[in-house]
Amino acid sequence: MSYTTFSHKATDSLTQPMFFGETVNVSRFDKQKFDMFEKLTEKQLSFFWRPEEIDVSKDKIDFAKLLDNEKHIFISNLQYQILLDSVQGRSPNIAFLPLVSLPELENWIETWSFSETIHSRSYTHIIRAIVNEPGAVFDDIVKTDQIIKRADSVSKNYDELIKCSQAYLIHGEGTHNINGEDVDIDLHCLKRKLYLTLVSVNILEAIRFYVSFACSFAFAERKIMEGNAKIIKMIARDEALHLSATQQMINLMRDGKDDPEMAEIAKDCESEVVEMFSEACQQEKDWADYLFKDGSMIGLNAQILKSYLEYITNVRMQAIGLSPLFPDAKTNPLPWINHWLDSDSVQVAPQETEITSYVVSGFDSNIHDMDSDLKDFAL
Amino acid sequence: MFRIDIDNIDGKTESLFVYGENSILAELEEHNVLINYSCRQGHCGSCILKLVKGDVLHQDCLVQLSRGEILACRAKPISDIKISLRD
Ligand code: FES
Ligand SMILES: [Fe+2]
Ligand SMILES: [Fe+2]
Repeated sequence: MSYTTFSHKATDSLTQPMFFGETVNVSRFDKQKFDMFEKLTEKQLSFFWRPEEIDVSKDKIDFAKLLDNEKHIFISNLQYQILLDSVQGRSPNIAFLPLVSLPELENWIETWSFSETIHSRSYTHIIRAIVNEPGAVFDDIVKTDQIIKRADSVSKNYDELIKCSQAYLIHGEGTHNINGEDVDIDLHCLKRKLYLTLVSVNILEAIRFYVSFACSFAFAERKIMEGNAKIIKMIARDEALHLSATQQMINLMRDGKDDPEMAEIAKDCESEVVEMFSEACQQEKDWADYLFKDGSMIGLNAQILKSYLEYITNVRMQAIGLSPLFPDAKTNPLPWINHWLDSDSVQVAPQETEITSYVVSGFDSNIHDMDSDLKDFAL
Repeated sequence: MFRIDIDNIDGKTESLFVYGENSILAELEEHNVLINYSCRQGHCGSCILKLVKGDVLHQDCLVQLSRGEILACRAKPISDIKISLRD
C-alpha cells in the first residue's frame, strides 16, 4: 500500500476495512459500510457554531474579581485545553487520513478535526476578552512543566503512528532507518500502533478534557464566567460526538466486525490499554493537585476532582468493554455536571433543526418468541 | 407520576416513581441504579435498554435500535414502564 490521492482502481468500499485497505478515491456517500460515521458527520455539521456568537464581555468583570488561586485554576485549565485542541485540530488528519479506506470515515475524520479548530479559535476569543495581555497566556503554555509533561503523553502515540506509517507508505514493510534509528515495520505492528493511538485519543477526549469541563462548569454554577461556560458547553457537546466515534471504532475492531486481525490485536493489547487508562488517570490527578496547589474553589477541590476522575475513567473503560479500574468509584461525586452535559440542557444552536422526538412502545421479545414457538408447535 | 419497573438492572429489581421530566438515565442514576453510558447524547449506544412494557418519548439518535430497544439517555417515560437490560 502506498498513498495516492486518487487511486484509479475501482474498489467497492463496502468490502474494505476502516483502515489499511485500498486508499479512498471517490468521495461518495450514497452507500456506507458503517453509516454511523456518516451520521456523526451530519450531526457535527448541524452543530456548527462560531465563538464570536457567544458574548463573553461579562467574564472580564468576573475574572478581575476572582481570587489569585481561582485565576490560576481558570487560566491553567484553558491552557491545557488549548494544548489538547491544538493536538486534535491536526493529528487525526495527519495520522489517520493516509490510512483510511472508507469514504464515510475519511469524511468524518476531516469534519472531526475541523471542529477542533473551532475549539482552538474559541480559546483565543475567551482569553482576548478577559486578560489585557493574551500573548502571555499562550506563550506560557510551552514553559509550564505540568502542561508539557501531559503534551508528551497525548502526542506520543500519534507521533509513533505517524512516523512508522509514513515510512511504510514510502518504503513498504522492512527495516528502515528513520533519523539514524533502525525501525522494523510491518503491517501488523502498524495496526497495533493504530489501535493504541485510537485508545489514546479516546482517553484524551473522554477523560482528560473532563477535568477542565468540571472546573469551567463549577465557576458557572456560581454564576460567574458564564460566557466561558457557554463556550465550554458547546465544546463538550462536540466532544461527546468525538468520543462516541473513537469508542465505536475501538468496539468495531474489538468485536472483529471490521478487520479480523484487529480483534486479535485488541486482545493482545488489553493489558497495555488498561495501563494507558491508569497512567492517564494518574496524570490527571497530578494535574488536579497542580490546579488546586494554592487553594480550592467553591464547589471543587483536588480530592473531589480526583474521585470524579476515577469515576469517569471507569465509565469510559466500561464503554469499550473493559473492567473498571476503580471498583469503589461507582457513583458520580459531581452529579451537577450532568446538567451541563446532558443533551436536553444543551442549548440548540440556531443552525440546528429542532430535535425530533417519537414514541417508542414496549416490546417483550420473550413473549413474542414464545408466541411463534407455539405457532410452530401448532403446525 | 409514572412508575418505572426495573427488571434486574445493576442487580436490582425494584420500582421508581418519577415525573417524566428527566431522561431514564438520569432517573436511574438519581436512584443509584447504575448502567453503562458514555456520551449522554444519543450517539454512542452504550446505554441501550430494553423497554418491555409501556411508552417512552424518544429523542432522535445516531444509534441503530432494534424493536423494543431504547437509549436511556434519550428517553423519558410517558406512561408506567418496565425496563430491563438487553440480552
Ligand atoms: S450514553 Fe451514549 S447513547 Fe446514551
Ligand atoms: Fe476539541
Ligand atoms: Fe474532540
